[in-house]
Amino acid sequence: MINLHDLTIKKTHDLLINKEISAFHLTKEFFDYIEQRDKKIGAYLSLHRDEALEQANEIDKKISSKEEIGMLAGIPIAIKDNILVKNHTCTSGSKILENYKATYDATVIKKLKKSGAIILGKTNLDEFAMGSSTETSAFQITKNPLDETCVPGGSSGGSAAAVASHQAIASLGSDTGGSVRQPASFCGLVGLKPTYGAVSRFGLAALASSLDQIGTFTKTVEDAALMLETISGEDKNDNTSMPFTFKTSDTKNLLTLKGIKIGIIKECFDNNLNPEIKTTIDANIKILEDLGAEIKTISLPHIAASLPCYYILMPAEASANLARYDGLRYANSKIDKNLKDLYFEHRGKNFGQEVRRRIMLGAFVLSSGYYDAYYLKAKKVQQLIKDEFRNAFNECDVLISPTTPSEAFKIGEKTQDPVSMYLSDIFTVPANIAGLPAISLPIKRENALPYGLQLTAKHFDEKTLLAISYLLEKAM
Amino acid sequence: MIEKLINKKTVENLAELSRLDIKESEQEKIAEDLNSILNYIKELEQVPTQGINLDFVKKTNKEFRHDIPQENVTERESLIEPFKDRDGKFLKIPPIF
Repeated sequence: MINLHDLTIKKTHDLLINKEISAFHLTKEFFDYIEQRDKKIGAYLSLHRDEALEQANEIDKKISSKEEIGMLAGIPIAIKDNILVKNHTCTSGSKILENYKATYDATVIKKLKKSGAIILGKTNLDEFAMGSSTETSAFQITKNPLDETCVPGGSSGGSAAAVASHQAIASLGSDTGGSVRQPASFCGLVGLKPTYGAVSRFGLAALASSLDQIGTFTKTVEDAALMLETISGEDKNDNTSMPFTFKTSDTKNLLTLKGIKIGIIKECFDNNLNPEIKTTIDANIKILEDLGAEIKTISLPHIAASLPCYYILMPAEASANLARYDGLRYANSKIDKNLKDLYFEHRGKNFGQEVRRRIMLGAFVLSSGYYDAYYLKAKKVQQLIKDEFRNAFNECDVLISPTTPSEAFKIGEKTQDPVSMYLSDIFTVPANIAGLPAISLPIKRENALPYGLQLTAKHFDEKTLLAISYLLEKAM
Repeated sequence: MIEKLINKKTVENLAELSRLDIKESEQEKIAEDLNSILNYIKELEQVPTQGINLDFVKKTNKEFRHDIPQENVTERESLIEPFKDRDGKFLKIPPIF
């Protein structure tokens, strides 16, 4: 009997190559566990049982014929249901895609399959990744495995809950404004959002294309590095992707933090911050200092403008991206009305409340007479924030802040007040606005829900980001 | 004080622009939510942005790929597959007018 709770990618890999377990049995064990555990949690929307077991068999054959296998070979992982896996449904958490079957693999899926990773199934999310609690999903509520009366965060709440409840070893999510880091923080996991351009988004249902990034949930920093190494790189199908390569071994390059400068973002630690979060982050700053890092206080005067800026740019892009759901594509019904009626009825009926709200908000901020005051203004504020980050990185290597302003909140607590829901992303949105890589590391607390500590690095400097995270994780 | 930029009439207009069927009974709540969001967004007015040049017009080192048609059946199939109402390779759509 394998204890699924202890498994990381690294440990599982060792068990597999030492033939202490077979990939087939491990995968079967996961499905058996999911069958009972997920009734309570609701992390998965669909399972790929037959295909996963078949894939696992292939890995076992390779192992028994002494073929060398990669680190992810035979590792059971979960995928957010807005990333395409060929021949499987991809709902994006929306009724409008309830019956849509993907006709191709997203680039990240191609890469994972090539590496031998086992895809267990697709996980729940806020509809089209619009939300911070996974409650806007058209299908089900996902519960926080650490406290089932609380949300797992969102929008990648299913992917976070799957790993936190040991129903997968790692998972993929997408992060447009914090949708990986915020649920990682709420569920006590490592959540990584790579640099904009480090990972191809081909095959990811677009929310806001200038901000969207695919990220990972894992139990350890090393596992995050292994996932990033596999999924990153330039892709001709995503013109924003860059020739970025990352080696997991680089994560272990630092032995101390001597010579590393870490900036505390002053504006994130003002008087409004929950004093308990401040105390726990301070304790970790002390650890970083003890490891040899030089700690500085850095000011990013307009960082607080990131969130209002985001709520202009994101809906503007979303309203355009979601125009494709027209009732002609991805629909099941035969067409028996005129085009305009079809649009109105199909979109009105099948988009949920939050999605409709953001589409209309997007239409508003882009509409004639308001474009300059909203969209153009937001683009300029975005530039200002980018410049402030650039200046900050002239003085330090990484920046530190909390991931979220609170621990996981109760199910239903914020659903009636959109702005209070949006505010739970206040510390995560800046990295998307500036396209920077950021990671949330879990700060575990006794008899209480965890907090997340966020580190943000320069563009494409995942190497430093993960090396510091690795040392901090060991010392925590 | 919440400034009310959006009323039921604006919601109706936005729904029309967004091609969304919205019930009249829902309009008020939607207007209220949008107003509270816009009220929050107003914070941006306080941010000075004179003289800021936008990055997005800067040239990047990315090149556009060459416009060479390629025979790629799988891509074609995957593009037309989501249309359920088809006649061979033709996609059926209702008349526009």
